[in-house]
Amino acid sequence: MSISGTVASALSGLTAAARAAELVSSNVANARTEGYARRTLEIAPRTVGASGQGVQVVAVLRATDPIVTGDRRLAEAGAAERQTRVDFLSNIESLLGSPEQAGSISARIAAFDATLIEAASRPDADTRLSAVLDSARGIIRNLSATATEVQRARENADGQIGASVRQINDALTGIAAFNAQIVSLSSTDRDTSALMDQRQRLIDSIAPLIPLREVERGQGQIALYSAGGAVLIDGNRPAQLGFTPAGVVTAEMTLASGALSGLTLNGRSIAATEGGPLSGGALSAQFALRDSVAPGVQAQLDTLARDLVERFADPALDTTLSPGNPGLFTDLGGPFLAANEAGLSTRLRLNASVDPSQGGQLWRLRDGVEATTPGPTGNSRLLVALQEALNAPRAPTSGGGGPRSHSVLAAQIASGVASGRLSAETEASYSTARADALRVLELENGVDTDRELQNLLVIEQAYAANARVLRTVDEMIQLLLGV
Amino acid sequence: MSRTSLGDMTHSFMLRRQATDLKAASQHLSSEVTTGRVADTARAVSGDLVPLAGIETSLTRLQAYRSATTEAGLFASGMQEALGVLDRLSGDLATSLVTASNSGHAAMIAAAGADAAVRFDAAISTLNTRLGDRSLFSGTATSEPALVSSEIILAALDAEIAGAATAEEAAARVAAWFAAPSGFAATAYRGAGPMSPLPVSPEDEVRLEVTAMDPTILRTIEGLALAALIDRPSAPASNADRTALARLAGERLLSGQTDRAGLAARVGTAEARIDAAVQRNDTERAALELVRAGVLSVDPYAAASELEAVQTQIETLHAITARLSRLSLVDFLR
Repeated sequence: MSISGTVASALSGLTAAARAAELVSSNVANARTEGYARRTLEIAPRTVGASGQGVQVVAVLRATDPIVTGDRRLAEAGAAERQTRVDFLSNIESLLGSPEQAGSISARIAAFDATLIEAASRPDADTRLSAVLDSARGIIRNLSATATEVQRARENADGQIGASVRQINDALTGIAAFNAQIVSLSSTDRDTSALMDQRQRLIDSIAPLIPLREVERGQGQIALYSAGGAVLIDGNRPAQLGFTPAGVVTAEMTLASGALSGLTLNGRSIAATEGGPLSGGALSAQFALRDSVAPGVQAQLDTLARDLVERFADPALDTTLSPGNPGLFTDLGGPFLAANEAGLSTRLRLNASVDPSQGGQLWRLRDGVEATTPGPTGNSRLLVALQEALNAPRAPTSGGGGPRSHSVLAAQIASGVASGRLSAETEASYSTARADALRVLELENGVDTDRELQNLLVIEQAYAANARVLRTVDEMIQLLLGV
Repeated sequence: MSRTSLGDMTHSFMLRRQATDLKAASQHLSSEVTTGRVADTARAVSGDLVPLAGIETSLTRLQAYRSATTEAGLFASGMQEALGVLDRLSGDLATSLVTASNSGHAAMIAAAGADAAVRFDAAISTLNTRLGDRSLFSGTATSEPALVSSEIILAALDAEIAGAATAEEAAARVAAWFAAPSGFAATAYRGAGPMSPLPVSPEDEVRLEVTAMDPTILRTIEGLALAALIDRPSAPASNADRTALARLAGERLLSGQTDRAGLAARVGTAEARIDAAVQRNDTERAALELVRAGVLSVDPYAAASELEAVQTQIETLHAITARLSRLSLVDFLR
């Protein structure tokens, strides 16, 4: 009895060593696999009746640290949220430009100012007058390029939200499926580590979009909640997010007007931005961009455009103007109406009557937008007045604030975007650093090939020892048989 | 925390992260070293671009005022030159007219009259001077010469004085013609009202509003025209009347001398103001450029030494990466 017991023990030792070697090989093979959790073997003495007999493999453990992983996911969500903001603001900032760059809005307004001065000095020179037109076009070009980019960013955000919602829904469905599979496998005592790795990867893929909390639910199942408290998955029932991308987004389309879609959770409408149940990640950042940050910038651009239009639409300035008619700058060729302020910066055009390329006459810059016949060529009164009107302190009709020149207003708007970018950048670099630090902590727990090889040495020795035991037992039995 | 293992990926992740940071820093610094300007303007001014925009706008504006002052200066000196010519033409003539009228000699008076006709023509062309394709004395109508040709004026005056019995009457009719809006202003002046003040700096403007209708100029032309009429058939024929006409014309021209000097002084003042504006603008530009350099330029030594430090760090990181990748138990298990 005891000799066969010895054989059984030695065999169990061989099995355990083989199993351990298998794990080592798996670990080493996956040393560079993202989302792979290091496996370890849990072994215990085997007991048969009251006496110990060999060793048994209890379980394959995944070496994870749920707290670090959870924190890392939250930090990633925060970093992704801020990065979205930084990307948008630095894009707009580069379009508005900083004042020392030739194409910046400030430089373009300064150029308009300068060409007016030069034209006032030689009102008879057509080249000076067409320089005024060119620089005015420069302002229009910069404003409309920036405004177009703002709307493109909103459109992009809308599309991104659609893609993110699809990705989240797919991932949640996948996680629910893994939950179910893991339950059925673990009830038959099979190794579920590989499935858990895959589930972990799915969760990681949506972690930057929504800040997540993972809760263990027994039998290897997990529940997922958003940091804001919404249940995303519990057991094998995934939540369903709903969103309809608009495709094309223009300045007039808002969430409030119903032209843009909000977010639903299981069919119920929820707040998507700050304070909402899914806020804090890239998803809510895209909503914030689409519904508040970008429209905020757009409103400022429109304020600037309106200021420009109104400065030159004053009949007291250009006596040929009839009240209500557009001045030098127009809203798509027509007069500007206060109700149409949204998106004005994209519709700004030069008055056709002064623009030779639209069939107008350059001398109207000198003699008045609605002048019917050319006046004396040396008359600089209007050009001087235009230059003064550009620089006169004037409180913008919309957007609030005290009286200031057009160029100061533009610089303030550019400053607003630039300082927004700077503070978002500071926050983003902090949260990225935090996410990176947590990632390092998580990776420390990963596969260490040196340690795996050390283990392999020990396993090799154990295997050799168990084999030696078997051989000795074999010799003992041979002895018995030879008697 | 006691550790029994340290994942392989930890190193590579950290090295990758540090390499990225260092490369970003070196890119930023090398752009600063090569351009001599801060790479991130908004950060250099803590997000407040308003003062910088103010500086840049002022610099662009001063650049525009530079051409405005050059042109205004040219215009003013052109005027000054023309006024000088006008003064010389009439001053010389006044003397010879007075001398001739004192002598009462018919030939001398005829000679003075002929000389006057030439000078009158010269005076009209002087007032019609174009400088850089602009008429100096036609006010805002810079595309037009200020006056019609001398012959047209004289022909109009011929008709005006025809039948005048005495020199005094002829002179009075001429004076009336020059003063009446339907006379000289309607027949001879082709320009328009005076030019608006020219801005020459953000605060200053200069008035160059002298036109051919300026009373002083008008008076001078009148004197010259009167003298030029002596030799024409329309003038009273008697020698005494012609002598009187010469005397009247000479006196008119002489009495206008002070006014002409005053006019030249007015234009001179404008020239001086333009020069002062140029000086002020240059000073302001130099000051603004200094301020801008203070905001935007980087200390090349600081930037270069920082770049050097970052380079050393990158090299160290590469050395460490190479060392660490060789440190594996695999290589020692043979």
